[in-house]
Amino acid sequence: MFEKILIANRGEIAVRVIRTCREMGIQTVAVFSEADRGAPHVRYADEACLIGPALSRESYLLPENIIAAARKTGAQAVHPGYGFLSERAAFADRCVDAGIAFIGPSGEAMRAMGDKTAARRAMRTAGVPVVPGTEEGLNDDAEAVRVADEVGYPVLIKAAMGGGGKGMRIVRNPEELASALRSARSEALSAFGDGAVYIEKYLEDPRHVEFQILADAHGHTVHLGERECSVQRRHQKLIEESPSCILDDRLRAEMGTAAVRAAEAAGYVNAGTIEFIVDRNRNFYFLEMNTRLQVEHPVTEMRTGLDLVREQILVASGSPLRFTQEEIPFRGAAIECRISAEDPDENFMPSIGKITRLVEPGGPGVRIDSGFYRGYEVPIFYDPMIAKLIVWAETRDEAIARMKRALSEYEIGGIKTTVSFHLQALSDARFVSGNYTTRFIEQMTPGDKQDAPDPRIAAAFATLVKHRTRKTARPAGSSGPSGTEFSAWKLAGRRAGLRK
Amino acid sequence: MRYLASMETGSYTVGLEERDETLHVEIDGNPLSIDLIAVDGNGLYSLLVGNRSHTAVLLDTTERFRVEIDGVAFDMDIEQEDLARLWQSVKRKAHAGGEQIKAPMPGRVIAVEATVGDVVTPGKGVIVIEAMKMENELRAHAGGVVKEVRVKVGDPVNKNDVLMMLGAQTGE
Repeated sequence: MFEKILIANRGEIAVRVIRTCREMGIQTVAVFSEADRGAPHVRYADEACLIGPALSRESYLLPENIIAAARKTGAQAVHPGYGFLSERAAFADRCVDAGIAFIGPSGEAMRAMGDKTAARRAMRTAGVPVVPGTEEGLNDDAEAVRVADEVGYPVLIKAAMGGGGKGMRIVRNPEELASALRSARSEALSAFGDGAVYIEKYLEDPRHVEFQILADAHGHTVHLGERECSVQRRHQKLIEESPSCILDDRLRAEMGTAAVRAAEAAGYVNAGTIEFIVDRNRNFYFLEMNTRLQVEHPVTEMRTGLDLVREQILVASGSPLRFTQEEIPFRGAAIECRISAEDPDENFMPSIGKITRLVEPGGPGVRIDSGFYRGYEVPIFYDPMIAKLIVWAETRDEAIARMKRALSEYEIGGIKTTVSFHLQALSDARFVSGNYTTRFIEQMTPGDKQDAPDPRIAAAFATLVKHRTRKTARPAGSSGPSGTEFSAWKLAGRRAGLRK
Repeated sequence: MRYLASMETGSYTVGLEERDETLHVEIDGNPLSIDLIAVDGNGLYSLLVGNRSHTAVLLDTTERFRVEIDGVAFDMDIEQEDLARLWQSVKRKAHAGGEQIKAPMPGRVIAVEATVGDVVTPGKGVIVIEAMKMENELRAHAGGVVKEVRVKVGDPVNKNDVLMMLGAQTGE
């Protein structure tokens, strides 16, 4: 077992990984940029190394700085978290070459799945259904026309070497194809350094259902159930839940088996996720594989009781899986809301600044994975997601009620956050029915205001505060029994209440 | 002391009177049974109105009073009643000066979607800024006619920089 692990990340996921390491008695090394000197993961770790200035590309994204920090501290393994270098095959290779274990899949597996067209080919061979389309990058426009006609419009042009919406174009009729190809290619070239694109059938209004898989280095692969991730904005997930309402037991078993086959076809070891797209006829198709631990992994942890970071570390240290597919327990329903420093009333504009007030929700079945604290200055250099709120309950309806309760307790002052968006989303009839697709956000209805307090209460409160701040000198003996400055506020109402 | 609280939904007269060492509160002439204490010294209060318990938060007092009651935000102006009338007429003139589109954070202008003379309706996007790895579209709130465009594509901007000015639609 490793004695020391370096966490090559920041924010909530760095804290997350450090927590499990501490429980396992493993020493931890944090890395931080100049902007993150005050970040919580630095304090949580046993050792911490500065790896560069604020910009990610000058710090967290520099393999040589990470490996130098690992060497300096004697870390035997690196956990890459998600994002940053977690899916850079070259980084995984360099760690291994430097004699440092990489807690994740091999560089080879990353390359196999990172090339989207190669991945589709591999899936076809493994008997995993893929979205109809090409399996090679397109050679020329004539081929594109032919494939599009074969597959049938509408079609989706996608970048072969990357995702996140870049290099992606929807084409609804043949006349638009040529110009869409041009702009998709140029966007892919600038985003991924490779302009290769391919064509898939465009599935209208799909659902995004992914399966968590876990594989050891001894040939055992299991799936840990699905996560429904259709609540997305600009291809970024906002709310995830498990189980998915669109799956019945038969479909779940089929997709689970396909996910395991897909991972095995890639020679995958460690934790990963197979993303499927489910159309309105409940046909499922392989979309892509994420060769890392994902943001929404707590949803799976809440339902299975497993610690996925622990499982990753065990696998990376050579242990076989401690359970078979049949032994994995699935219980209840879990929902995760990603809390971001963004203003949902202003088109999710990032909101930076100092956290002046923080009250976190608690109670049964409530979990917070957070990367900030009261007094923290949310920096502009990184992803705006500052925490994840996850709940578990016996049923989906109870989980929704629990999440709404937890969200209403969550007070984050000093910046705008997406807490109010999540409250609105969870009250939306479409979400509650479970009948929603990736178009959910654009179809959201504005929240009903039936619970809005009487504005006169707001007026009274604000006026009292203003009145109080006008008076600086207080007469002697005005502190009441509670000793607070507001003892003069033991107002007529309270005395009247006592008299009764 | 009488105050006037002015919100979008309406105005309320809030009367405060110290009598027998207690503060009596009246809204539009009706007495309210109120108990208010500060909880954390940082804007969080516990507010009892009769027997109902509310969480009250003081969010911002720099321009207007922004408070939250049980998670719902309210914006208002609070002035002593006799001064309020004076301020109303001054503000009417100030608002006629129009809306300023400001940068909410440091970034770079990547698109300018309106030019001088365009009529911008409330909610319409006018400038797109790139910041924090994403594109962010700034939208007009009150709207108006574009009077001045102070930036062009590629310009870096700092927080609170005025990027565009809108004015009244008639006259001027």
